[in-house]
Amino acid sequence: MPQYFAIIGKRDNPVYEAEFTAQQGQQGQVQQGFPQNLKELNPFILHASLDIIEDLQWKTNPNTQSGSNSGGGGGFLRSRNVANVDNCYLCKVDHFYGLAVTAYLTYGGMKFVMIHGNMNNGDVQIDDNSVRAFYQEVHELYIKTLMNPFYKINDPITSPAFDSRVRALARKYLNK
Amino acid sequence: MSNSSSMPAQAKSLKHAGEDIWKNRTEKVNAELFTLTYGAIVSQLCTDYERNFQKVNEQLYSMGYNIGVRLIEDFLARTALPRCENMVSTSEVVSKCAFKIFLNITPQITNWSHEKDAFSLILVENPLSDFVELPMDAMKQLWYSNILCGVLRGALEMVQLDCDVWFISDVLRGDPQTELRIKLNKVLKDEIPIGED
Amino acid sequence: MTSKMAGDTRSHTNPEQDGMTEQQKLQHQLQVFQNSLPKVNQIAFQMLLNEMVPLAVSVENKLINSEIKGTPKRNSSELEEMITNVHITAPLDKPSHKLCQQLYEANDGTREKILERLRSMGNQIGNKLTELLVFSNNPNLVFKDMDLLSVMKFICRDVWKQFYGKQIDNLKTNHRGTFYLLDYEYRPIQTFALDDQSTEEELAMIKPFFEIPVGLIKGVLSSLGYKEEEVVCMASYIDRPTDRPKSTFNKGVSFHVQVNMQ
Repeated sequence: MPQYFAIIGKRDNPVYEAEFTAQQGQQGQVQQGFPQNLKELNPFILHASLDIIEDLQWKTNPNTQSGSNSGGGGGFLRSRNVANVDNCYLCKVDHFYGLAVTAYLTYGGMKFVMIHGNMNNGDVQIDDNSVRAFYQEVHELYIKTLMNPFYKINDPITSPAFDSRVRALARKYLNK
Repeated sequence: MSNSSSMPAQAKSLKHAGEDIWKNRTEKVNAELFTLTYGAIVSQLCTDYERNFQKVNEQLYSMGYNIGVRLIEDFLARTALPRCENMVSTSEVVSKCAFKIFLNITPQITNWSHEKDAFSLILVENPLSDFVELPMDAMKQLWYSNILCGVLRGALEMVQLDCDVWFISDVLRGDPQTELRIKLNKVLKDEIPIGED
Repeated sequence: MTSKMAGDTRSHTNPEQDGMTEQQKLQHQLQVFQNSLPKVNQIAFQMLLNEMVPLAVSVENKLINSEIKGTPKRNSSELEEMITNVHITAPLDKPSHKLCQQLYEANDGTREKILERLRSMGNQIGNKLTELLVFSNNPNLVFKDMDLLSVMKFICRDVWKQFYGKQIDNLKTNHRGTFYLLDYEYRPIQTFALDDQSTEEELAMIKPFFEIPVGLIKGVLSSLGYKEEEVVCMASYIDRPTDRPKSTFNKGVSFHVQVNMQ
């Protein structure tokens, strides 16, 4: 099944995008991509889900008692609904006509988002473990990109090395 | 090197001294921080000089020089090494002690000139330039780690060695290796105090 | 209100922390992980940081010079030739202390440009730094309670420790966006030995060394969602508490951070 992956910057600007297609489908199908009409829609679907991610991001965790260890007690409580550092992964956040959208957040506020396509009109099955692993390794690549002094946060990532490594990760985790 | 038979022994003891000081008598910081800080400096200079990379090279060199003339004090105090009698032993001290103690790397010494007054250091690792990818317009002009040349020039000058130090190649530019050249111009007279005012 | 930074695990009043040991375990893991990362010599790092001040002055000198002379821009192939063929030693700057002296004597406009250059470099470091430290599974910063206070604590503990080898000594806040980060032995200036007779002039000459952390603090805050225009940060000298052991530099530094939230 194909995926459309994007890194979205702090001003909701696209920083990187890529479409992954299975090199070699299970039954020998090759180059199974998104249908052309969907391909054009992908950026819009993805953009629509940003609002939901934002909601999740800023949502006050009901378990956090306001005032405990927090500055203004409510006013600028900026809690998030994920529990620990390993959990930048937000799982499935949205769906659209049989397509699923997953997301991942970095501390610096970058959003990693992916649309998972389906193969034969069935429901999309998301393997959270491998999707999470994919996101985490892309996160690591992203940090290495940040370490490059000539790369400015929020700028589009144009490095071919980054692109090919992300694609390699997609082959490893998403289109086995 | 077909030098006197005492050389390998000396080199070995310098290696040991460098490793010992690094391991047991050096306060350390995360190299990532160092890389990030140097990167911020280079990137700021590229902006300030509007991508005139020649000027950036010069600025990094002269920043390095000002560090080198002071860093040598710390180095001499720490190692208490006797004065080097020739460039061959200087090269060993630079690689096995100085680079080891400050950056935890040991560049390879090679390409001696016939007169044994010039040699190259091959930097297999370089904590200054980890993760760096040069932009296209800088590929042929910027010597990203040029600060090292300045540091070496400044430090060597303080021990009476007037040297030229420059990069010949850099993996960041797509070269097969990173090679830094050190050439002795002359041994300065002791009584001339350099950088003193 | 004051919350001591030292031994901070105790002042943590998180109701969920039934196991302080769990927190300590995470701290320990972080320590082990960070110890395993590549290292360089602290002195080399310190000298690089401190040399940024005279560097910023030297850059300003050269920019002003080229403005006066109006040097024509060389085309790039000419430049390339110069760089590849000529390895003659580049023209050297004045010694660092002369450049610092010059900064002290500079007029307000020039000084502000130089200080801004320092803050800009600090900012760039801070902006990227957060991702790095946090990425290494830092238990001190969790999404769950990433309010302003815990972000400030992160700066006091983790950022300061990494950069200056020690934590901020004291963090004060009014809980309405105003913070004072007090460092009684700010590391970069400890090599400038100053006794009780330190003159106003000497103190003023050293003050530019506060600008990098000012930028750093703003950079970390902006990377965590507190926009640059919402944050004011300034640094000033403070007296050291009398009960602290004598240090080589007889003044502490206060970093005043004001976050204006809508």
